[in-house]
Amino acid sequence: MSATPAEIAALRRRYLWMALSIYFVDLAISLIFTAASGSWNTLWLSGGIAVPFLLVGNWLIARRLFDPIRRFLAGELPFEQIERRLTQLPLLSARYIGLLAIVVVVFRNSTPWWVVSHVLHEAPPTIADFIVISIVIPVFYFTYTYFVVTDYLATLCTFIFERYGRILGLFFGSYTIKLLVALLVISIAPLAAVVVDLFSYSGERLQWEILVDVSAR
Amino acid sequence: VIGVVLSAYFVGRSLLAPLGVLSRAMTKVADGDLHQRVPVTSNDEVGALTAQFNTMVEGLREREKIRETFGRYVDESVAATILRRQGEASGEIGEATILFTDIAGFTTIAEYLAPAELVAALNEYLETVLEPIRRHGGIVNTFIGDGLFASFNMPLACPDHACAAVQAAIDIQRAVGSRTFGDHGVALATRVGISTGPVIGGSVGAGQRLSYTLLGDTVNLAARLETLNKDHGTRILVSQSTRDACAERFAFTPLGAVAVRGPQRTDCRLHARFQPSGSFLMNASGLSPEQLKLQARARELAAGPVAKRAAEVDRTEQYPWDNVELLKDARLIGMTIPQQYGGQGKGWLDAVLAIEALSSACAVTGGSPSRPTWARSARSWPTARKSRRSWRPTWCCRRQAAICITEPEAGSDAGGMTTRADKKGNRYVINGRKHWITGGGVSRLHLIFAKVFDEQGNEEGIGGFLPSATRPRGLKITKREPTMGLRGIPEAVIDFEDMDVPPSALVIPPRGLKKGFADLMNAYNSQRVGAATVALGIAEGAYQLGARLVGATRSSSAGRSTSSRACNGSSPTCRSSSRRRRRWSTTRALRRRRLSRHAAGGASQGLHLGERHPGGERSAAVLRRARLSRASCRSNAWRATCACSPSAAARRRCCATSWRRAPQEEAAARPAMGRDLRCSDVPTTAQEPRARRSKRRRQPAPVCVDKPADMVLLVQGAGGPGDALHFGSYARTSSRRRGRAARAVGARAGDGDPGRVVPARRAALAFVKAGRQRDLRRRDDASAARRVDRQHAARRQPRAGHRQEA
Repeated sequence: MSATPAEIAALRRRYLWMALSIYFVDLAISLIFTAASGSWNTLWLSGGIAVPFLLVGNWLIARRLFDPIRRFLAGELPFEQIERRLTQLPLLSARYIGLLAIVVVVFRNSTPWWVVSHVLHEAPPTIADFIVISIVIPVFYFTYTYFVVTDYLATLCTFIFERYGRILGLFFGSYTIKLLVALLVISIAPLAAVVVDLFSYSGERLQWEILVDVSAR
Repeated sequence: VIGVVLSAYFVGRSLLAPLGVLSRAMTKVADGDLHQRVPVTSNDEVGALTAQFNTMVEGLREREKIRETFGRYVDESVAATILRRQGEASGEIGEATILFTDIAGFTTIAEYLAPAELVAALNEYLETVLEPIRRHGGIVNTFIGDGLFASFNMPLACPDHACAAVQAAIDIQRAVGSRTFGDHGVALATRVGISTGPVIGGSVGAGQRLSYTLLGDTVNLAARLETLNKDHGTRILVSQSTRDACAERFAFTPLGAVAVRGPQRTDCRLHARFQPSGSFLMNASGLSPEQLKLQARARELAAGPVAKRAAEVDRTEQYPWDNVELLKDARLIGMTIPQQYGGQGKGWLDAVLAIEALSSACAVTGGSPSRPTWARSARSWPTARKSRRSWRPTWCCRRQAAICITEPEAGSDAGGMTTRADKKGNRYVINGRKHWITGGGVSRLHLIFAKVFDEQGNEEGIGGFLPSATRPRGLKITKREPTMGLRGIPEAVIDFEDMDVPPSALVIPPRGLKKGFADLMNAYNSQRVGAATVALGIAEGAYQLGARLVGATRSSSAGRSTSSRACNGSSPTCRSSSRRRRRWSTTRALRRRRLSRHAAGGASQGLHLGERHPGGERSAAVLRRARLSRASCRSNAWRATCACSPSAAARRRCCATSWRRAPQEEAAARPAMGRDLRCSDVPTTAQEPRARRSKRRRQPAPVCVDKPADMVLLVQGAGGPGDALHFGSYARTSSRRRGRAARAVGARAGDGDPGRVVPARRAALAFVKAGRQRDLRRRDDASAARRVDRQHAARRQPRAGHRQEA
């Protein structure tokens, strides 16, 4: 028994929500950062840059990524043609989001250099902190998206198995790498950001940067 | 913090959830659920593991399917063992207990059952036998026709295998003995042989045809023991080794030593198993000591005063009220009446034992305990309960109430009943006619069934009236039907002319047509068990008499050489034929006895028409067959109570079926109804005209009704409606045969005039002729030609002696 259009739409909607959830995570981090720094006047800038990339761009990409799967569920494509896309869905979704996140994070961290300082009321970060933040946050977004979509993929595969009797037959992933990435993101990446803060700042700025890193990340 | 928490949550879910799903599926597979299939949700090693798990389960499923399919042909344990050994079950030696079973008299049963019915009955039987074997850890190695070969402890380990095998055999006997099989309700007696010792197990065969089997002396001995049951009259025979292995767990009866073939078993000690120690004491027939005592008491009474008066009762046509008093004194009446109503509260099996024993001597007396059995249901009659002081069932029992149901136009069809009871004021007025009322005229009570109408003339249904008077005003015995059997109790026509009864006599109030019919049938139901047992007793009495006569004839003719005469299987002097006759009759008697007791069990549990018997059989079917056997055996009553000397009866028995005479001679020889009928009424060879005798000599004498026991029964058969139907049905239940016999007498089965002798004799002759024709068809042309040659030779040498067909 194949899936009904309503079920297909629900699956697609759920995937899009999973993929777009990174925007809301980013928004939450931005709010915490703004609240911690008290720079509410820059919220429009940091939040505004996320909308075209992490919301609109991400939505378009996610829609495109899921389209073959939707067509399979609708019976337009055979399983063999979408099997690879299905197994790569978490990785592709996370990769695009990682790239978009790099743009967003680089834009945000670089604003103190090219926007007038009286508007921002914010001192520019050190180069080391800029580089680390530009790496750590996209990696975190990548990891987050990867595991969120993987969790969704389990539901999708179960659905396909129950309705279509098909199971995945491509196994090119590595459980070890997944585990390492997860450990890296959860433990080492925030630690690295704090360490860089320790070497980059001092005094009240150091206290503030560590507070933001610990609370947000 | 936010990022770490969110990431940790989803990382945990995505990494660990597939492992959880896989773990749960593995647990289910370990529990035997091979229908598990887990979706692959990741592309890493866990996904690969999940896919491999699915493949593994699929393989297991396929293997299980093979094992199941294979297991249909061999025992599942054997199939599993062979599969475990990858198809190679090489020889191995181990100790095991071997059990062989076989159906007693199966060849005979196979003769009268259609193939489809036979296979259905056999499958039911094997299913019944298989269950105890499997339950006790045994496996069935091979089905051998109607038997099977089971082993314990090989190839499936079974600790205490000898005890398990004996217990399985006991359970088999109980299971098989407590039920019948197939649509015809065939009772199948089982013989079991058990032996313990070393056996060799392995795959035996050639090429692609292999079979797992067990070999060795132990197997052969068990098979031999199963056969030896015939000689010892036992059902379970075990070897000394099995008996030693069982120690004191079961009670065995040593049967001594017997020489069997084999290198080391010239002297094998046998033991018959009867009951497990510690359980209630039962003998081989399954009766308790109390029942055995009751049976012995009834037999003693039957052999004494009852047997002495049997012939007189038939001759004088007087109901033996003195015998009823004897039965009362011996506490053989009112056995099934509950104690609160003054009865003994015994079960129907007790009543059946007494009835069977008494009926073997005198059917009229034997029927006395069963005749008033309707009174047992008095406890459910509201009107009777109110006045039970004067209507105690035991009081009714002693008065041998006659049940008045059958009508000339309606028979036993309650819907067509014309006798009516109109309510007029505070009284009921009964009008109508009943016929074939057993005991009508001698019974001191009459239970009258009639359609009840209220004062406005509206029908209320069928009701039962029990007038208190012995012969109430308005009840007239119009006619006594002549009968050949059971002459001591009349079959009467009773007219009711404005018989006035009080409302208290309405012991079975009308409850509408449907429920009234049910009440009517319930009144019949319990009585039929007793009636069938009377028939069984008659048959047993006839058989015992016949066996004695055969013995007497054999001893009297011991000096004569029988080798010069060819035996056609029916000669009473032929030892093999008498043995065969005895075996055949015994088989039938056992079958009938089991049927009767089966019905008694149902009646004891209060089963009525259409209710399901615990043994899986509808009580209605049991009762129906019981009624059939009752009618078929009625013809034996005369035989059992014949006043002729045994030797005279024996002389006439063999020639009676070959007797033919012209219709006028037959009419002249027809015994007058109402007078004493003896064996001598059946003409002997010496009474036949010389011309007919010489003509008969030229023809092969049809003295054999392929089963000799038929001869004994049917020659005197007749006396009730449907004798053509019942002719031969005692011996077998083949409707084809009955139909053939019925066509031969030119009447549809069941339409015979009661009391006529001719139809049954004609049916007998037709049956003989049909049997001969069938036998001839079976033979090939060469043997038929040889027979014709012999006939010609006999014509050429008429004084060469009476040669019979071999």
